[in-house]
Amino acid sequence: MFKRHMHIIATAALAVLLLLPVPPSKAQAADIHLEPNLININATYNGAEVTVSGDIPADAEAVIQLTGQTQDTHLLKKGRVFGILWMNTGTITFENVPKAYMIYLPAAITESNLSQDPLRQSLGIGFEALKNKVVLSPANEDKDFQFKEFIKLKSKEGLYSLSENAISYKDGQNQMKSFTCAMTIPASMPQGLFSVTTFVMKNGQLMEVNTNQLKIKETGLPAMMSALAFDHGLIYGILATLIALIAGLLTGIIFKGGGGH
Amino acid sequence: MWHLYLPIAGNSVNVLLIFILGGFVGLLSGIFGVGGGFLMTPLLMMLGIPPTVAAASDSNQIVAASASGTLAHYRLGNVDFKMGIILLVGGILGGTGGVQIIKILKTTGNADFLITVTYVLMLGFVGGYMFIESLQGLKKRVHETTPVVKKESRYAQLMKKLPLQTRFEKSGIELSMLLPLILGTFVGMLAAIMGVGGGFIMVPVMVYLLRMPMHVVVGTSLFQILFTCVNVTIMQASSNHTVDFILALILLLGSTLGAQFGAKISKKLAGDQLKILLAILVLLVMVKMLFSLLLPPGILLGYKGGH
Repeated sequence: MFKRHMHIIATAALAVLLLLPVPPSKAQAADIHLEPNLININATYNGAEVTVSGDIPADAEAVIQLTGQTQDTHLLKKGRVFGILWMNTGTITFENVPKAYMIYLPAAITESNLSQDPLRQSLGIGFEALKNKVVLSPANEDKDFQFKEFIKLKSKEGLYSLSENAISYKDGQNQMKSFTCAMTIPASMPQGLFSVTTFVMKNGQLMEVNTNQLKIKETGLPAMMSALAFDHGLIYGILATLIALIAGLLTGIIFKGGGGH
Repeated sequence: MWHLYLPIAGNSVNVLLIFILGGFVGLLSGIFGVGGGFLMTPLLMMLGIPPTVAAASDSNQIVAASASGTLAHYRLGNVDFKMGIILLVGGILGGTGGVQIIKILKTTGNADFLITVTYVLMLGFVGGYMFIESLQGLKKRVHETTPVVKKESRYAQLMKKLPLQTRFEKSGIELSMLLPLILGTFVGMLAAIMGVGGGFIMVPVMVYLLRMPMHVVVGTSLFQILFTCVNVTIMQASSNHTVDFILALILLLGSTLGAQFGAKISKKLAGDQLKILLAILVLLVMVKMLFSLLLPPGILLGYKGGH
């Protein structure tokens, strides 16, 4: 029991450490930046592309992780009823899952060696590492199975992804190289703050962790609509109904005018 | 390009695709007097709209489609307002009751199973009966010229015994006011329990239990759906914030046009032709539901809401 507690405390301590802003290490204070770091959702928004770039030592590798704020997600579980019909068989809650989770890997690192590497596991990179952090409720659920389904669901929405061979390098001077990574932000990504973390690693050692903030925010028409819908739901509903009613009747009148039947 | 962001749904959609979808469902609505939610909600979900937002925004757009359709059918003399209002009163009573019943059902465990199985069986029964009945009607029209004198059924005799007999001019029938009130309540209750608009339960009920002419059924059903959807839209917007007006607006631009064309097509078809087409539509929905129940889903987790 005591051992188990120690394990939890150690994990929690590590999590806290990772959440704290990491001071740039002295030797390789790499300049890593995000372009753009603010995405405005306007009326014709259809997702965006964000580029992470910077310089790292020539013999190092960069792994990039985008995570959203964590939340509890309630989902319906589907299963067989009476052996034949597939239906909802109950609810299941995934506690502390990030709203979005995207991993971008260089050519040298694949998904399979990501889950085997103790360093990357301890840093919490990848779906395997994420699974260890997530708590299921009810607790007696088959975690491996349900988490796999959860990843499928989130991947379909475009909010969870793992991209291999997604970081390109270009040789530079002074035994350094520059890297770029184009992240695709889907339109389904919710508003909010996201952390884009670049892990610089060499020979199984972590050299540097750099975190940039990405902000996604509604502006213009979408912002106005959301404000009205959420803060003045009744007025919004009445307006939406009235406009629909007028549009329907107007079409009817126009048709009568031009129809000639 | 051609994309618009839907702030409540939290996703962007292709405007042209949604417009065409609205037009198609509006067309069906104008022809058959159904809302079309049974088609629209799953299609919107496929395009990445959350189920609750898909259902609520669809109600919003049906307000426009059914207003357009009602007006078109009114001009053709096919809306029985008196009947529509009585059914509506029943529908509101039934809907309120249904919401309470579903709360009780949910506590008993197998509610979802019972509801789904009842739904599929009912679709099969209603669709099958309508199909056979209208097929016979179509055959008769070809082979026989003299109208058959029908023996009054026990149901018809019972209908005549009920108090508060009134004449419904537009439908050309005389029956007790209690009958549409009771049937309206029943359909409203079923619709609330199954989470559907109830258009394609109401249409067969009007045809077979109220014995209204098919063309008047379509117009009157649309009139009734209009009010149901006004109520649902305002309720959903104020309590659940699930109405995406941008989505509804693109849909309704298509569906109001579709409903006008639908009404014209409906006028050109004979009652039995309309019935058999609706029967096929209802049976197709049943088959689709049956398949989704029998085939293992790709992902064994899902979001709440929707149909």
